Amino acid sequence: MKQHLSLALDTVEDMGSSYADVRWISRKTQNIYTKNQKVEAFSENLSQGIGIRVLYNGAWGFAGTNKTDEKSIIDTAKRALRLARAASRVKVLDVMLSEAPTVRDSYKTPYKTDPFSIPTDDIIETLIHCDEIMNEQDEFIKVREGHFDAYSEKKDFMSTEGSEIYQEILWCGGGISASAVCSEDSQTRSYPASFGGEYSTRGFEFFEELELEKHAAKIAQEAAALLKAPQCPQDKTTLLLGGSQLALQIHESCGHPIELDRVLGMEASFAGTSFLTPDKRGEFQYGSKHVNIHCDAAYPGGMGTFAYDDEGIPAQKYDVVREGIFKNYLTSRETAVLFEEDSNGTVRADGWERMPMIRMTNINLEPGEWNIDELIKDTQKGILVDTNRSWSIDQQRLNFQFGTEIAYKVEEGSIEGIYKNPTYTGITPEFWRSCDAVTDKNNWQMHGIPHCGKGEPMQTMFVGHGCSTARFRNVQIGVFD
Amino acid sequence: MIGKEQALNMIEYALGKSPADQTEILMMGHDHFLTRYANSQIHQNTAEENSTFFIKAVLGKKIGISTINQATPKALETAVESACKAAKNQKEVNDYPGLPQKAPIVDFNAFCPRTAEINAEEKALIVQDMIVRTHGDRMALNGAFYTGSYEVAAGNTNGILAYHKGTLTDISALTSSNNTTGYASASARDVDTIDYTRLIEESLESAKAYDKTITLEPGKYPVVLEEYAVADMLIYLSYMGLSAESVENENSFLIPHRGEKLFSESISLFDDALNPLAFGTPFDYEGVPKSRLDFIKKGTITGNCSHNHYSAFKAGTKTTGHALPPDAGLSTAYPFHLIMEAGDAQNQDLLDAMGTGILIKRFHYLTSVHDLKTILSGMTRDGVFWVEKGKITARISDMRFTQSIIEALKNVEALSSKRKSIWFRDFSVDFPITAVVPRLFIKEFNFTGQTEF
Repeated sequence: MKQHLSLALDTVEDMGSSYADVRWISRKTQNIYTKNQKVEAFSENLSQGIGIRVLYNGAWGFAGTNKTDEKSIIDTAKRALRLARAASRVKVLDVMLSEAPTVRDSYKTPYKTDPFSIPTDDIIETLIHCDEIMNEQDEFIKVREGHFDAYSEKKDFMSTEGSEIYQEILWCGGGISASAVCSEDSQTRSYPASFGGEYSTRGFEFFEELELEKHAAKIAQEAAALLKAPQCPQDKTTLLLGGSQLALQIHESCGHPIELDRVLGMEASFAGTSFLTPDKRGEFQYGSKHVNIHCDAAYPGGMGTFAYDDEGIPAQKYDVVREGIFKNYLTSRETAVLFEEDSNGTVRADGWERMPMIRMTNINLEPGEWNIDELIKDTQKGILVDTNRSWSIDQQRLNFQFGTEIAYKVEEGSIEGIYKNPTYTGITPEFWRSCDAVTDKNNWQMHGIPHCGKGEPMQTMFVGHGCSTARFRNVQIGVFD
Repeated sequence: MIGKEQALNMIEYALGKSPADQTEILMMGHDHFLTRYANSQIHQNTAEENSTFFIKAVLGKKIGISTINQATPKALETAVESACKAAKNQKEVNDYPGLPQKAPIVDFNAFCPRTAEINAEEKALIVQDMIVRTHGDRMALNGAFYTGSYEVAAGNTNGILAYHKGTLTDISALTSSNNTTGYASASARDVDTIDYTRLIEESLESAKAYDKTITLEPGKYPVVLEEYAVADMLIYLSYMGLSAESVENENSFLIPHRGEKLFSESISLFDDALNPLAFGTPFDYEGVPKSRLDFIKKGTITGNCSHNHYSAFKAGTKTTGHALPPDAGLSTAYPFHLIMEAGDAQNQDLLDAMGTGILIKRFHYLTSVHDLKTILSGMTRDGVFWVEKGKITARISDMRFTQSIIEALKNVEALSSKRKSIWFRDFSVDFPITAVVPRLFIKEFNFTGQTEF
């Protein structure tokens, strides 16, 4: 295959391209979805192909094909060049690329047990057993679901600058949920996270460590209890965000707004732009002094972990927010050059068929000093919410509204019951500036999100967010209808 | 695109090779081109071709699924083997009725050679022309121009063997200045039917700066929703409660309201992939013919929900032809070609009827807050205007709403006579998800927050 890839690069160089790179990817996935004692979906999927990106006369062209014979690859390379040539007729500025090292290397996600080697009936057995446990808890539990997903990607990258990189990325994970239903309401609880569960670039040992069966009874009981729980009141109060929900808060209100392509308007018509304009870099008070956020594409087990991005740039760790001040964007070679800097290595495509773009890697909120129990004890009045249920944010990433599966009522330093249908809403910098406490490393956990959407056609990427429970003051809660 | 002959030959070959009791094969392929532009220049110009085979193997009551994107006999044999292996390791699905039987399918011409063949240079010239048209208003052009062809073929060991191909184009124009944005988009089978000049005019119209931009306090206001916003709202209704899965989960608004007249006689909502405006296919992803399915008829909830073969069997009814590709789940069947009947009002009539209120172009980032109660939250974008005595008097800073869709439909006072086909291209290149909708005047809509622009 390397010979074919090399031929593709030679073809476009001969036709006048100033830079090109090519990726061959073979992607294998396994998805198991159980519901109410049945396996609703069980699929094993294989997708392979190549994607060629060409820079010609200062403009990009990209073409992907599932046909991997020599002729098809050459035809696809020519197609990419024709697209670049056409794009170059409608440009304002030439695309310039920052410097990149020439790399010849390989990388493989470290893991103990290959999830694809596990007998699938064992996995199904685990999920069905969880289903049975959940079903036994309450007569109102009507829907029980279980998920297991495994992903393996083999990728060859070559560029006209001489880089040759081979990577094997592997991840897996899953989760369970129980829904209680009565005539006028429906409430769901999930473990360890909603919309499928938690995921990690680790082997099957990660799925085993989730210990789904140990948590099945509790989530079913909570789902049933939520049916009878009072509606979360409308109030401006103290909000404690549990890690699973805080991960999504980081994702939507910090991760997306620091994508420099988005900041520069490249996603304006679909996903939108960003309030974090270039003049704010290094000066803007994004959050309180307790807010320290970094990007780390090499964090072990993070869903955004790799050795090299899809431009051949090494994985890096750097500050995004330090003591509340906004420091850095996620950049590509094309965008970093605007700051006369090198790329910080965040460019990925979700497959061979799509053009690489800036994506989150692992965007992590660093732990603070608070013990979780002490933090609750220190909170006179408020709610502790966790496990995402709904999410929405405006196209500049300012006004957000999230819903969670459950809220725990906090009164005079202790948990005093639950509310259903909790929501909270705010404006991003106001919200992060109201953060007055972050819990310590004992409460810190890496969360994996396998379905981050961006770009056209929509690309679905896997990203990570490490965080621990944090406290925010004077937050609007309880917007429901 | 591998074409009808190769697609059907490959399906028949694979069916012949399968040792399973029953086998179903779906092929979905596309060859598409997407030109993206931002800040008045093309920044991504891409092409993608792919063909994926989905194999469903049934061993007794056990079902296994595999997919592969290589159209060779060897690759398909591997995929059949993988599906059979998956089935062997499965638990039995005791109430599984087997695969659907063959039924007559009437194919229709959805393929426009011009859309399939328009080249990159021509598309660049069209984009260039649109950019030039924004110069007079000192606006930048952002958006995407899609052209492409798709094919779908389905076969099973009960005799189903069907093929269909089509083309689609979609173009969007978000015009922007420092403090305003406007939007328009259009979709069609034939790229030559798109009126690019009109598209830019519509976008510039909604980007126009007025003497003032006002902010409104959260609260309930009358609104006129343009077609883009109505389509967004209805596609969420589809996810929230119009499928058999929602009904089976007892999580659909259809259950408590079956047979009830909830809305005015002017509200009718149905799914019809065969309507040319809906850009559908003649059969679903099990190879079952498509047909019309009514959800709301003259204001009354019919109680119908969308089924595939399995969900229908469980419910003691017949499939409605809404199966999705098999990896989506055994019971998953959504109506993806919703059509709302038009009313009799001109666009200006809607504003006149509203008098004072808000005109909304488009929504952004919707989320389901509560499926059963059909509560949706999201933002406005790209053209929100304050209207007094039927005339626009100011732009409004974008707002957040949190609103039950059912309550909104109860409050519809008038519908436009013209409708627009909206294709949700970003979520469905291979299987078009569309809505054909009028504009709506809704007497009360719940806004719950503001933003800073």
